[in-house]
Amino acid sequence: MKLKNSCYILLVLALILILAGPELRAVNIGGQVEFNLEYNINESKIIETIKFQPSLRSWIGADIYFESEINLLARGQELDYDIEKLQITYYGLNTDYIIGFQEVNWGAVDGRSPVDNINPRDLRWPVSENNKIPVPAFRMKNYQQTYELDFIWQPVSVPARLPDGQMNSLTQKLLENKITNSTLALRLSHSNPGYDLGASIYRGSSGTPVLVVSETDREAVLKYYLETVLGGEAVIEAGASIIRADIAAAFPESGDYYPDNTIRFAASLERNLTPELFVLAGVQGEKELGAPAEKYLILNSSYQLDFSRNFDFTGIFDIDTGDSLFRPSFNYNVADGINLEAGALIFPGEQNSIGSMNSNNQIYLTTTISF
Amino acid sequence: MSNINKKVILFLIVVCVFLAITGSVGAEELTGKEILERSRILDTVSDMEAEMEMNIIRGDRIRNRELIMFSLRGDDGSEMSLMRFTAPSDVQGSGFLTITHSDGQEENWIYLPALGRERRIISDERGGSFMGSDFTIEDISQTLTDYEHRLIEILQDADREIYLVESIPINEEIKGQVGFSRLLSYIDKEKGYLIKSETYADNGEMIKLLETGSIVEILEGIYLPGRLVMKDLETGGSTELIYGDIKINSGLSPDYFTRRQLSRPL
Repeated sequence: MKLKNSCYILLVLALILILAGPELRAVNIGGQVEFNLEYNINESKIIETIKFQPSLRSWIGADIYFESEINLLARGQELDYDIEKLQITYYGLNTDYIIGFQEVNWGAVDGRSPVDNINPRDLRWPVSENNKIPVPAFRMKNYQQTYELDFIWQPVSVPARLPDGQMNSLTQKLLENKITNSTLALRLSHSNPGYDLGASIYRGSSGTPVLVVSETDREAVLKYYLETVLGGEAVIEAGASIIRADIAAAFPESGDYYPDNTIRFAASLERNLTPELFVLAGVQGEKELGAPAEKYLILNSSYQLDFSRNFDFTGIFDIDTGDSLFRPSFNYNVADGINLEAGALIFPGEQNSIGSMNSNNQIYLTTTISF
Repeated sequence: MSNINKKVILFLIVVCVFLAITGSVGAEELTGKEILERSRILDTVSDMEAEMEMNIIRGDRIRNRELIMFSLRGDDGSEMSLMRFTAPSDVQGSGFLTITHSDGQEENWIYLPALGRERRIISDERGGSFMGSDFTIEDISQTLTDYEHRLIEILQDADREIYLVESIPINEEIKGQVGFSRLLSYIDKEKGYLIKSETYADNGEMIKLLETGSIVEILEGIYLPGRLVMKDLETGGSTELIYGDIKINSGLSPDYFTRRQLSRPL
């Protein structure tokens, strides 16, 4: 009952904002409401999710900009809330200073880049590209003609959100997970006609924890560890195609249970085969010292039927095990600000790698209303 | 008749034929390229900032976009254009940056708030749709150096003269990129603005028609169509582009046309 009431309140709030008209929007109040119906094929059950993301953005001075975004989520019988963004930016002459809970997007490739390590992931949505957890950080971006220097200091590390983790607020998570290692990261990028290059260094918490069995009480606990990641990235225009490539060398702190030094890589080639058909083919993976490499082929395509409808397809194929992920979807932009998406997530294979996620096989219908 | 008289008559005939062929154009007329340059606003002012409304029309359905466009012609001949979408809500904050260097090399960047970073996109797709509309990226950026332009004739309308200029892509590669083989532009001779243009495919069939209206004088002697309608004759769709507030020569600098500005809030 409490959940239902909460949903109704969210809906009324959304409607008020939608109907508020341009006066209210002029002060940059906006956001979106997402209704998702998901039919889990394995468990033959339907899960309803309502996501409400109101945002407030405003200039609070000639060069100071405030941004906030909250994520309220009602999924099944659970209610969750998180800060998606809470930051203030000062736009200086050649430097932007950003402080607060924020997302950082590094790397040349789309999706998950091996050099994009600042934000941990919400692993309840493992295949979502938009599953970053904001981190409290101070960021400084300096621009010198075609060069850009990006510095980040994060005083407290934030853990990843695990699928079985308790639903709670970010503040609670920070208190409960006593990861106090601060993070430092630096990236230098350079743009040229026809290509971009970048290099970065990251010293901070690992993105995902490892399972460590305690010697004394034989209890298994999840543990994060410190790692240093050196990264390189490139974007090259090649005729009617674009090549994107990221590579990272990760050096974890030493420990019996921690991984060894690892090379992570991602590369893609994209082009429009016709004005309607966009295709991206790529490879992604990692190679830990002394262990076999993991390699995945990636195919992404989008076919624009007309100005409001398109078919998308994403496929990920584990080269070694044959496990795969197929995600076909159909998008229909019903009207300005209203979008329908129907699709499926299928994990075929022998459950050696991504096939083990087959409990998530589903078809879904999502309605998104932006205001 | 003497030989001299015959030669004089022959000379007069040749002159008459020459005048008949070229008479409507005249020796002092501008060239096709000069006429098109005059019609392009960026060739007559140094920079421009304009609020625009775009209506994409499909039968009874209309999709609306509002944007602000900043344009600049650099001292070295390069051209820069920055577009920021302000409405509707699902595209608000999106941006599009195009830089055409003086050597013709083009760079395109897009910023989508959901992506959270600027993304270099393919520059070779000039014939592709601009933001889902019936305008192509080429229609918006208009790279004159990639065509051979020819003034075909001067047409007489009821109360005005009109230049008819033909533009042909200079090679097969460019023809493939822009997606057409011939463009006819109708330009008001006195005021220099574009009245309409017709785009033709290889088979000679007209595939797109651009018509303009609501002509405004933005500076003394400089006219701009305040409304453009692009019709795709193959699909039946059309897109209307309406100019709102326009600021000319407000002193924009090349520093404004950067990836940093693309993501900076308006």
